[in-house]
Amino acid sequence: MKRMMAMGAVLLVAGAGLAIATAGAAPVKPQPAAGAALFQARCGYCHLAGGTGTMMLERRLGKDDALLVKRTDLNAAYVKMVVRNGLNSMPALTRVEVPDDQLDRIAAYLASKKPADKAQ
Amino acid sequence: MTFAPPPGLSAAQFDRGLKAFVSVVGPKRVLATDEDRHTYLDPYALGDGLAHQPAAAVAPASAEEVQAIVRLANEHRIPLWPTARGKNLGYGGAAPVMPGTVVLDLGRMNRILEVDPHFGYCLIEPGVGFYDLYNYLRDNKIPLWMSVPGNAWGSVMGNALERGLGYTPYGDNASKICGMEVVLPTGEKMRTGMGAMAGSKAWQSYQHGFGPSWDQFLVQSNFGVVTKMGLWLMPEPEMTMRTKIELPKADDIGWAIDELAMLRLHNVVEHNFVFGNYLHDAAVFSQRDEWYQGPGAIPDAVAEKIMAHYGIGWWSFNLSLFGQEEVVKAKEKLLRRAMEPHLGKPLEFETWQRGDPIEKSSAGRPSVVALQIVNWRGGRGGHIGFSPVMPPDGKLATKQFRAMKARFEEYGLDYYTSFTMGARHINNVNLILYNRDDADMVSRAKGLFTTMIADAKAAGYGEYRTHIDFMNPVAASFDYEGGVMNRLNETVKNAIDPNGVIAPGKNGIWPRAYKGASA
Repeated sequence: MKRMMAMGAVLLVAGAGLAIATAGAAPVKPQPAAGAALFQARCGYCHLAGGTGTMMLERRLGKDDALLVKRTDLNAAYVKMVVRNGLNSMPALTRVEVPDDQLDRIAAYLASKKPADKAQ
Repeated sequence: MTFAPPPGLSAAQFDRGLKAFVSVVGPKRVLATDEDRHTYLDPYALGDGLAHQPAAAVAPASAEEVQAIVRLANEHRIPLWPTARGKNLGYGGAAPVMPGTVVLDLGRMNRILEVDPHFGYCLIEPGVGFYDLYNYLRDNKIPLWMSVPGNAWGSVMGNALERGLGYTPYGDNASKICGMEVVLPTGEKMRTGMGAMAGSKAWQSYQHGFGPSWDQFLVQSNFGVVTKMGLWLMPEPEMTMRTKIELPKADDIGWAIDELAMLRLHNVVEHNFVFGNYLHDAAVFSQRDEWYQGPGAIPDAVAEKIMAHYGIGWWSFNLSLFGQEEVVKAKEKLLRRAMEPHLGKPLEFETWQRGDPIEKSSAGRPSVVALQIVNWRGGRGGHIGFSPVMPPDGKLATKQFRAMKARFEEYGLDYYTSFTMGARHINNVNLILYNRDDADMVSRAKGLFTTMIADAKAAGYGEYRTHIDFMNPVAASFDYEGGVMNRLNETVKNAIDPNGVIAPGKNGIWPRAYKGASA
């Protein structure tokens, strides 16, 4: 029971983070250009701390590689391949949900992470 | 990857149609590469999902563009499958029933057009997601609460149109629809309810209008493309109290459903809630291999170990009370009186009062974590739910539970179930979790689903909503007087959509043009 309550607390934190990430979503204006902001808005549903994608990655790869923003081994082509094809339980995302130009910026952002980012 | 154009069209004819769509939305919004088609497949399909492969997708940005596309679809005989955000997960996602259909992706139409903080409603477009509306209400400090389903990745409108559920007193989302704008299969634009009067000032105030009401006609149907929806939102209450109740024994379902049915009927408990078995929690917090690697369904002895590990019961459910403090406190007494003699211990509540952190409240808050369950089996996971509607009767629920558990065991699949309680009914959601790439498991899942349709029909229960694979057999199970309702649906369909361009096969409603095109 304690484990479940602790998990609940994590989920609340994750929800709060996402609320900030997608703040001002309506009426929807053109998205900010930065890859980091696009990542939060498009991928943050699942890939922030406590998110369902983060939970799945932790099971498969371990805690250190669960959060995408802490990964230093992602390259842009791989990120784009996963987004358009899906991976394991992750659904593929359409070009309406994440247009190509936005995906380019998200992929570049995730591919730009250096070991120093992981330590943060 | 090969694909088929819409039935009856050559590749060249289809290509001409797509070029016509480009003239409306531009080249970037007609999505017709192999990769595009792949992204619109059902991500949780039983198998590869190619039996429902669309031929392309087109993404308009306005109701006027929808009108233009629908008119061109008639001219070029191209069937369209409207989807709001494509997250109807477990029911087909964005994929159409009939292969070769073009997905009409409304995700770009994502404006929150109006929120009335005083009278408690919003007017939204199809692409508005639960997170979008939640953030809008929070950022603008609007004291209105949403009703949010278990998977909140999707569209507010799409969920209501599929009769999705949330867990506040406004959780029967289809019942909170008040006024819609719809593009009819001819391309005309109509407004329902009071909106049928040009200049109406009461479109979101009264649900019915003058004469026949068309709103529910557009729910789970293929009679039009909804481009705007009015939805009532719940005024923030003064106080909430919530409690999680665990029932240790499987047979506790009988007394519990009887007590809970009375609490719902008399509005002590005003919201839908999931009365779910232990696997709801276990499949979020762990994977099957951690507990059991053997064949067949998880044995009861292993289930007991899981429950002991997490300190959970065979069944669990969350109950909340909403309203003014005096009302909530009075209802607390009634709830204690009903439940505590059975439980043998006092209920423990978490109380929220206006001004406290919202996390302590029973407000609907979006989350996607429930999707974790598809990872129960590992690999490319999926889930599909068979959800017949039944009366909220303890004896019937016990019988149904025992029968369905035995069916899952017969097919070697883990029994994940809830008896989700509405005002006067139960949605008995039997969820099958599977690895899409395990052909034997997929075959058993299909077999179980088909058997459950027959079992439910024999018991007098029918489904409230279903996956695109099973829309025909579920529609066929509604067979009073030889299926007269299905014939009426198709008579209406053929009258208002003579070319059958809007969502052929949706909920088993087939237009003449494509009758027999897909099973």
